[in-house]
Amino acid sequence: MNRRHFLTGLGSGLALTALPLSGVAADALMIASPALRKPIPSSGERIPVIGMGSWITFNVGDDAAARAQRAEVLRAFFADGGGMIDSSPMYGSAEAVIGDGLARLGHPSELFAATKVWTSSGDDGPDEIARSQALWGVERFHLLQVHNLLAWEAHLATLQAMKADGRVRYVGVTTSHGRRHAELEQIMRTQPIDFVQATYNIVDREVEQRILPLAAERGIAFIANRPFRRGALIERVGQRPLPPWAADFGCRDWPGFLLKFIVSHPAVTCAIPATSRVDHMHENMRAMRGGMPDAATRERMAAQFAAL
Amino acid sequence: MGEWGSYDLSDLLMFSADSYVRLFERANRLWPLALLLGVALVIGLWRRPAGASPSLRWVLASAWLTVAISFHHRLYAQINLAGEAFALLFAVEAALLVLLRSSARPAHATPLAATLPGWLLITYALLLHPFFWFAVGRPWQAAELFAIAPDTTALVTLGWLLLRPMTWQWLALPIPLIWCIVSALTHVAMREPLGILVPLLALLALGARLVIAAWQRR
Ligand SMILES: NC(=O)c1ccc[n+]([C@@H]2O[C@H](COP(=O)([O-])OP(=O)(O)OC[C@H]3O[C@@H](n4cnc5c(N)ncnc54)[C@H](OP(=O)(O)O)[C@@H]3O)[C@@H](O)[C@H]2O)c1
Repeated sequence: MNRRHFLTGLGSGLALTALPLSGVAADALMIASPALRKPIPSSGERIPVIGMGSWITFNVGDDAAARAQRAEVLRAFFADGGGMIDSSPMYGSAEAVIGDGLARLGHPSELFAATKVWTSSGDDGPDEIARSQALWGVERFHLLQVHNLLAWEAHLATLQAMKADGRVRYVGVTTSHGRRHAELEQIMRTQPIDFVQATYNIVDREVEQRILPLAAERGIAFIANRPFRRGALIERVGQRPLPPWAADFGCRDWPGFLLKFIVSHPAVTCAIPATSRVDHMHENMRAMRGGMPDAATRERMAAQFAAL
Repeated sequence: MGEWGSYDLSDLLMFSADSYVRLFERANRLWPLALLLGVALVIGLWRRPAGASPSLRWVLASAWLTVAISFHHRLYAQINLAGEAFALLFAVEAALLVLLRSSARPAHATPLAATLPGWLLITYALLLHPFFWFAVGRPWQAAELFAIAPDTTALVTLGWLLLRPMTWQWLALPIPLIWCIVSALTHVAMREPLGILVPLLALLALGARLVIAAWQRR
């Protein structure tokens, strides 16, 4: 019996007793509760709703000490039920550092490898993808996305051909910071893509207007980037206590509050917070367990956050 | 253009402040070389007045080339897409320092008082700047040493050029100045606003040098 199975048994036992729980028991219960997974509409494959970004946090070059530490961050990610890792050739050494970490962990089977193609020339796309594959040490990516819509027509053609050959499972496009949403919408309407990635968090909610409803309508999975607005949202809360009602949906900290807000949106498939720290990783991964807020509570969360 | 307007300076930063500091910790493995070049620099400055010793050009050029290779190319380029461009910039400066000699004719000699800003800048760069960032809690292993760290090397070089007469040699001035500004922008993006002191000191020294020299010639 491994630790998670033991705790599952413990959790179901504890759940029957309505006694107040100590912090340790609450932790155990949280770990024991199942992680939320959502389906990728185009295939029905279910993936964990918290993934991992790698912008800045995994760009540490060949610094041996930093690489060993990032491998521990990855270990925590998979131990807590993680799946999707998102990167890009634009992120400096991040892909190499991810590949190094995956090799140290013996290439966990739970990995859902997502990277991007980021070059202004369509002809350079295949070579860049091959380089990324070598850096990650994977035979094929689960998801390839056109980064920031750069040369998207040419790259989407390459990616669709790769998908038809079984050399990638899903294709998508990305943007961030609310940029070029009109063009994104156009692509979502006209191209047979599986994924779309854009910025969505408790403050940056523009995608709720058109992009998220369109993703739901067209059966496109949605990845939320910048869930903490590059950490600024967590800084904004400072030392303020969480509202007590956050406990109703299993929320114990602000990162969890922010992430649950995002992934509880029905059209969001997953969020990809980035972190360089093991403790932060555990905190973030907890967000996919222990219940989710409903639509009314989500509005209350946003109002609460706006009033900070 | 509209799209670029939606970027903050910090959005363009692709590494963390911690990773930046680690560059110095790792680059400082070359400290014996830095010490050697530092001692050669001090001896060169000591031996002839107003930094006229011809060996100084070579010492400074070696320092720029070392930073180009061991810092920018070997380390910084791994975490910054602009790293190789910085390496090239530093190599060009090394070449300029070697190629641009000054005909130290007495008519052109820098008036003594006008060398003060240069001396002050060199003293600051060699003795204080390496430890400047300790104030914000950086580890001592990350001291920014001459011939290893780009900021310190740029400040020393600017200080030396300010000792020199205003001849063709001053064409070696723009690259260190540009670097000081790049460094300040990087630090501001890392939310270390104290970084603006580097170009500020450089520009103040340059301004003081020009004003004193002009005033003395009247
Ligand atoms: N156009 C695109 O395709 C695009 C654009 C932007 C982002 N993305 C993707 O989306 C990912 C996420 O966005 P992002 O990295 O910009 O920002 P983010 O995930 O919103 O924030 C990351 C920051 O939050 C901090 N953090 C994470 N967990 C924390 C916790 N539990 N407590 C306190 N602080 C915490 C991290 O610092 P620590 O390291 O100290 O934990 C880091 O500084 C990126 O990494 C990237 O993969 C894609």
